[in-house]
Amino acid sequence: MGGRLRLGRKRVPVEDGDTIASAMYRAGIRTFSRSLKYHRRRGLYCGTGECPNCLVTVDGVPGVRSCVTPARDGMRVRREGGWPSVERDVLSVLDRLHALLPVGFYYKTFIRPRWIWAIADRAIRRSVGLGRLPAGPVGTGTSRHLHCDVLVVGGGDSGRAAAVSAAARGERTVLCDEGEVRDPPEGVEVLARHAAIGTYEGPMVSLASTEGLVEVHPERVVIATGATELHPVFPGNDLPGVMLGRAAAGLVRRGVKPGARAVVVVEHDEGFEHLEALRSAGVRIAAVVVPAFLESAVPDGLRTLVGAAVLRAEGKERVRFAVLRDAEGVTRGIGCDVFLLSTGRSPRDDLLRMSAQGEPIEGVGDAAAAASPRGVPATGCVCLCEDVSVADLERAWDEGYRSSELLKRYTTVTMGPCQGAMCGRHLAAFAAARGAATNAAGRTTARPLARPTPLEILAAPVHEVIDKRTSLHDLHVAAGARISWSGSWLRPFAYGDPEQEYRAVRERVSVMDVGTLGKFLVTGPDASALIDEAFPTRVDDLAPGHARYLLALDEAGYVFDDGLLCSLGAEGWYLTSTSGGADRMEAWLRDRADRRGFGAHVVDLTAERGAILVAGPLGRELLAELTDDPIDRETFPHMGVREVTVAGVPCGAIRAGFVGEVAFELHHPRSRGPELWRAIAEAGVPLGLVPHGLDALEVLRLEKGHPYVGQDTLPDDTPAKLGLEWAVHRGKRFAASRALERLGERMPERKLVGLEFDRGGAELRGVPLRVGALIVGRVTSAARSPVLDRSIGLGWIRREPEDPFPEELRADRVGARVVPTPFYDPAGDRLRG
Amino acid sequence: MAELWSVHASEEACDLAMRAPEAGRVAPDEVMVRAPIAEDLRRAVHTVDPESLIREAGEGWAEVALDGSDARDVFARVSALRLPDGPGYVQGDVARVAARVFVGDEAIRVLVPAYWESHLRRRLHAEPGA
Repeated sequence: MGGRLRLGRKRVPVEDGDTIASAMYRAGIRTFSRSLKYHRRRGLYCGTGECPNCLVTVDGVPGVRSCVTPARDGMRVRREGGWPSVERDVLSVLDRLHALLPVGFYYKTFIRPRWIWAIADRAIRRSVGLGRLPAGPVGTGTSRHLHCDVLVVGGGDSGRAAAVSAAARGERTVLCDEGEVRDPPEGVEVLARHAAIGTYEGPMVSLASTEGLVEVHPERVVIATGATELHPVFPGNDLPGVMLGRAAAGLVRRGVKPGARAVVVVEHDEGFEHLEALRSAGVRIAAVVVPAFLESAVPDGLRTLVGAAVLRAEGKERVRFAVLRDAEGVTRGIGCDVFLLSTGRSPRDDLLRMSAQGEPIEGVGDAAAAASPRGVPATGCVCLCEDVSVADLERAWDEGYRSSELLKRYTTVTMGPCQGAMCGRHLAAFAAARGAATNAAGRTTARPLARPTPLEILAAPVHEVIDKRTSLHDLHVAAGARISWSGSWLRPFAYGDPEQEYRAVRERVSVMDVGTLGKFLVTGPDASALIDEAFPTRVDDLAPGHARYLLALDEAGYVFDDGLLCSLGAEGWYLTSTSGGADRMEAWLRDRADRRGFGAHVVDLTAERGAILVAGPLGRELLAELTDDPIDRETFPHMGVREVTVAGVPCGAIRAGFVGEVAFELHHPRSRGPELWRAIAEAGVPLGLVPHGLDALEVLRLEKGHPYVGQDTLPDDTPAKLGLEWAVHRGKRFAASRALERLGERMPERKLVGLEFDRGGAELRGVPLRVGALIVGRVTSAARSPVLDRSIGLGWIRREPEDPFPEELRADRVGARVVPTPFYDPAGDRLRG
Repeated sequence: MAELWSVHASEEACDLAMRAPEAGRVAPDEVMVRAPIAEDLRRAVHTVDPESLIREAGEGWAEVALDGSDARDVFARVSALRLPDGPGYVQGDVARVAARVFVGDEAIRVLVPAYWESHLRRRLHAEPGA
């Protein structure tokens, strides 16, 4: 391969098999980053992608683990942390200010005066952190599912053996690994560079890759994630040049000599492989430190210190001396530029620990083995990610945080990129040694994410756009409509000039696609009882063939939706809800039916029925062209419900609408929608018909003072706050009646009102309403009314308990007055016409 | 799409309705049937639950059939649902929308509320092998 990567202004040669870290190390780089808090130099340490030391920004993407990321020609690499640079970091002065910056200092300082925190917060945030988030839009990953019999996580020896064994039994087997998988086993689906980031009920395992997220649904899971090397804790353990055995062996494997002279601590068998790797690379071994039981395994000719204890590592920019105390108690400083630590294994068992009990998830190999024994950390850096030392833990303990979980939360130990892989066991050992109760001294709870994962990958499933479309969608597109989102629906906002559409409704006739409305059939012997109990609307006097405004209140008496209730006589009830409220309306009805044991069927017809609104003073004239059924004012009055055949399409017609003109909602079979729309549009040409979209509707409904539930309302709005007490029948018991009785004892301190503005239009929506400097409310809807030639709106205002509601207000610099609604045709003569 | 019927009835009557070919249990009190319901079965359901409601529901649903050798693989990539080995019925999340799935000998038929039809088709067509 060859080539060069760019490290700042430096060009770093890349050789075959190089990782970014090995290329940097070969080029003489020893300081890979600066620590999060104290800006201490950090060098290559674990070499297996666990610790945070070698995180770099690659081509603008921060947090890339350089020790496991293949290097390639042309990469632009930047080291993270440090100002103005990692090599010369002014902020390293913080390393001398430990006494001023103890653990949790930001909870106790910069409190008075209050404004100082804003400055401190900014300063702290700028001085810490790992890289910078990329500016501009990020990519969108993909998301998919994968089903198999066995998922093996980890492509090492144990994982491969488990995968081969499962495949041999005829099980569909998937083997994933966050790195490459050498010699993929036959009959096994291999997902290389897929990191398992979480195990969930099912079982389900999430895998993250650069392409996106894979949700694997296996019958059983084998966790073969191996073990990390123990992270010894002693003063100077984070100096560049102090490194774990696998890091050094990895460098040697890639043809990089880790240093000239090494002190090697070996406390388990794997350490001798690392020792041999150093020797094979020509590194001079200054001393080998081993426990007595391993003395015989040390190759001849090496200076061996049996039973010596590591006291500290010394050096300024990198390690210069390993300071040890030998078995006789003599302290020795041995010169070295590599202090290699191979002291044991710590199972990478986080995926196992986050599995629910009883799930078919098993660990194999090192992941399921016992951790190597270790002592209690006495001094030194425990958490490389968050720069937490033993002294920090002691201070937190002394302040009363006396469990692993509390220590974690207070000091942030285990909360960095390694998620406790390096430090989690040290924390538990510390808590236990200090006398924490048994249940407070264990490992902290393992939760996803097990590995650092870009947010764009996590968000891959929600990047997917899911749109609802009515059967008329293609017609709207063909008509050149401006289509956009309205809740989860794609709807036309305008077909051309919204004011022309508005005028068609007010002056001639128009159509609108209202198929998005929620539509329900409620039938069965207890249908009426269900409706009566579920809603505050009076039901007993609603005759078949008639409709009534329906207000939907939850058990707390708060408005969650509205719509129309149509009596179908023996067939039951037909309900509409708002477009965005259909799901909740259905859930509400089903819940009330179940709780009260009503024998009623609730059938959601939202997808089954389309709806077209024909509205305008010429609306009846238009429909008369298309139907033989009687639609005159006397036969089919306002709020009437009839079966009408329009242009050959059977419709359930409701004489109601949101716009304040003669209006017919034609509820039809979805598949017949396009032919019905075309027929109406064609017949309407001589009458000047123009379809209208949501932009025109916004003005039309506002002129009538109709609030949009959701836009003009708040979650705790009661009928009284919205001026809708008239829609509540007080003479019956219903789901919310007790709550309304209780709420009714207090006069509302907030209410929705009609507003008239000195000037302006839709831009006033959202603007605070003030009396003097005091904010007393907010504009929820606003528009310039063409027919009234006024600026109008809705908004909520509040008052002090003993005061009247204000009437003269300001919306920014615009004068506003509280006025009664409807603004247009207050007597309702036009809609009844 | 074949005829699609919805049976809303008591649990006992729904148990009976499940005898219809291509029947799927939507809920204890609801069965979806992707085929005509024989008259004698209708009568039997009504006998057990005189208040039962049996209605044609095809207008509200869009059906996308996956057939061919890759059908199961394509389906598996867009859903966590585990399909029965033979003919059967499952329901749940498919391509992130609520779906009812009839598994037949020749095809997997995914039914979603009609307003999600374009989403489902778009999503399935994006899958390799679809």
